[in-house]
Amino acid sequence: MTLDDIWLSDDEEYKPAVSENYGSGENGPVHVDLLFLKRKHAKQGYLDGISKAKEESLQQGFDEGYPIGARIGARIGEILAQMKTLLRVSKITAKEYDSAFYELNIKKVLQTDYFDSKLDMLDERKHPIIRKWMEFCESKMDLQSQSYE
Amino acid sequence: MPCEQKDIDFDSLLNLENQYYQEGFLEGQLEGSKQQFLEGKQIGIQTGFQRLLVLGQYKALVAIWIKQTQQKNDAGATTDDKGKPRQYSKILQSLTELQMLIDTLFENGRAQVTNSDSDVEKYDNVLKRVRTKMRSVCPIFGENYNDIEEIAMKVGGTIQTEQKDEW
Repeated sequence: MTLDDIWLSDDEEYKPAVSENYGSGENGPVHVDLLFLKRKHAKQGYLDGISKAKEESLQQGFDEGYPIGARIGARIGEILAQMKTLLRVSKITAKEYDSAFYELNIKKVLQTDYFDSKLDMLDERKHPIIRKWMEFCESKMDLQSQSYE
Repeated sequence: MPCEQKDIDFDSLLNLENQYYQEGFLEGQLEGSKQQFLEGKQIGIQTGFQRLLVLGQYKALVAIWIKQTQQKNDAGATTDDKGKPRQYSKILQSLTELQMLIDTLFENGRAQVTNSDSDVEKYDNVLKRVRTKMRSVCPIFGENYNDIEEIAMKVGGTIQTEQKDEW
C-alpha cells in the first residue's frame, strides 16, 4: 500500500479554489485533512516568503536603480552649472535658465515614460529633456573668451 | 519490500508540513520579489540622482574654471578683473587636483558609482573633500558656494515615491 492509497481511500474529495492553492498549485483530489494541513502550512510559508522577498528584492532593486539615477543626476548637475555660468555671462536669458531649471527637476526627469518597462535607461544622454539642454548648452558654450565675473 | 520503502514513506509523511511550507514559501517569495523589486529600483534611481547631482555641478564648474584659468595663465595675467593679485599657475594646479578628485567617481565622463559599501564610503569621502576645496575656490570665481548646494536641493529635493507618474 502506498501513501496515495491511504489518502484516497476516504469518500471525501475536495478541490480547493485556485486562490487557496499556495504551494504546488496542483488541483488533484485529496483528503480534506491533508488539504487542511497543506493550506495551513503553505499559507504560512507563502506569507513568510513574501515578507522575506520584500526585504531582499527592495534592496536588490535599490542597488540596481542607484547607478542609473546617479548618472542622470550627475549629468543634470553639469547642465545646470553650465546654464548658470552662461546666465552670468549673459549668453542666455533668465527665461531660458528658468525653463531648464524647471524641466530638469527630478519630478519631471524621472517620470516613468522616460524608462523602459524594467525602469532601465541605457544612456542618460538620450533622455529627451537631458539631450535638449545638453545640446542647448553646447551651442552656447564659448567660455574660452569669458571673464570670471 | 521493503522495510526501507516504508521508512521513506513514513518520513515523507512527517515532512509534509515542511514540504507544504516550503512550497508556499517559494511561491510567496516569487510574488514578493515582483512587487518589491521595481519599487526598490525607483527609490534607488531617486537616491542616486539626488546624491550625484551636486557632484555634476562641481564637475562642470571646475572644468569651466580650468579653461578660464588656463587662458589667464597663458596670457601671463597676474591680477584678476578687479585688480586683485592672483597666482594663476597655483590656482590651475589646485583646480586640476580638484578635477582629478571628482573624476574618481566618473568614467568616460559618466558617473560610475554603485551602492556597494566600498563605493558609498568612497563617495562620502570624495564629496567631503571636494566640498572643502570648493568652498575655498568659489570666491576666486565669484561663485557663491551656498547657491550651488541650494540649486541641488531645489532640483533634486525630496519627492513622493508612490505617485503614479513620478517618484
